[in-house]
Amino acid sequence: MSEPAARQIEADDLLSAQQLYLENGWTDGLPIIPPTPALVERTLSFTKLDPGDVIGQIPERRRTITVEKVAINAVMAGCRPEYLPVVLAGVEAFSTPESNPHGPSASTGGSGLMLIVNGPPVTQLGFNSGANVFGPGPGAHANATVGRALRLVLLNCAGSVPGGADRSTLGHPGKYSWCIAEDESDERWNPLHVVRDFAPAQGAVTTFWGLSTLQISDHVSPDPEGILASFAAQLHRPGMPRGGGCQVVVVVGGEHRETLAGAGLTKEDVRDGLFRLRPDATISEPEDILVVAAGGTGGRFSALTFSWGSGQRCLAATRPVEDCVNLVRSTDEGSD
Amino acid sequence: MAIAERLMVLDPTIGPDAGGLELAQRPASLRGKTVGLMENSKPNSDHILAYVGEILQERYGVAELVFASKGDSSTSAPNETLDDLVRRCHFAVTGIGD
Repeated sequence: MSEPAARQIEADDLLSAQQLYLENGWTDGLPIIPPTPALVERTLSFTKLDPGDVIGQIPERRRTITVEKVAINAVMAGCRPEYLPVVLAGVEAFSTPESNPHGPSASTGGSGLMLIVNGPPVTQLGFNSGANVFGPGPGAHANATVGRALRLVLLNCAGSVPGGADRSTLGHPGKYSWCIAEDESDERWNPLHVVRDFAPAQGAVTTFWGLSTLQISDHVSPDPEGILASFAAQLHRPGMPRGGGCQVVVVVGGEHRETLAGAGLTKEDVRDGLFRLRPDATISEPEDILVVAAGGTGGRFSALTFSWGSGQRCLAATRPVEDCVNLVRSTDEGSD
Repeated sequence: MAIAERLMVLDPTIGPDAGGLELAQRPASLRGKTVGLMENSKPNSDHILAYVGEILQERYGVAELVFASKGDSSTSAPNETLDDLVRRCHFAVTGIGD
């Protein structure tokens, strides 16, 4: 086993390790999987990158995030080793200048970091894109742990310590974990990463600094016009100051999707229709409406999540997920 | 991993990159000096800094005020803005937060 670069600390036992991480402020308050060198090395075996490779930088905080540190936090979050490439892509995405992470992760305004997973990793790694997509459950292991890993990286590697650089007044539930996958089973709609110019067969993730999610219940409209009108009525960033250049993620649930796609509307048609119907200039360009197919097929609900950022700053960022190096080894449980 | 066994665990944290920061030389007196006042685009930050400028003039004899804007609260000030402040000012005041 190769020697990790990270500082090694000896703990008396499993519970002492839990207390160590909690008292040092290295957790989100929940129990963690203690990142032993063996667990971290096993996780690192699922990337072609070297442990010392830089995956992201935040110049405003003079932070340089390495692959090894991401792997440590991924283990802590409970990620299976094969999830690492998705976590790495998420860190890379949120660290980009277009994502502009310093403001949204420090702001008194509560924003969470939403991760949207597309492409082969969704089915290969078992991400949930269906019912309860924003929620927990045994089928949401990948969602829960990958989303949590990103938050732990923000906490431990990006300096977003609550009360420190993270000055959020109210926080955000998504700060525990906020990861969804897109339901790509309906060929009538291009997946988000394809809309954003990635190949369908390329795994990709999109990060988004989101405010509170607003559920839209429309159990009345039988046609696309009515559904789009219901969505558009809320396209003014409820509860926040007026300003242009915002983005919005529109998660379209199964029943609404069937009505829209069944009438022949593509995702781009939905996006452009919402843009035309928007009540004010909160959204400046159609491309700032990110339509995502997710959620269950029972219940006529969809959801809007506005961006923290305005003025075309702190934008959604999409990055590819590298092929898992040893995905076939995912069934090799072993023991530590 | 047995619950009662000793174990080695890894530090998950990264601190700021080392080096590269030095404190600028402090002027012995503010009298007659030029101060830069850079707001961060948050509402009323310009008014607060203007008031700070008044106090610096009235109480400390600062001669000239140079106002600048970061333009975006989330990113560092543009290099051109910083270079201009360095060129024109003896010291500068800015702020963080809302």
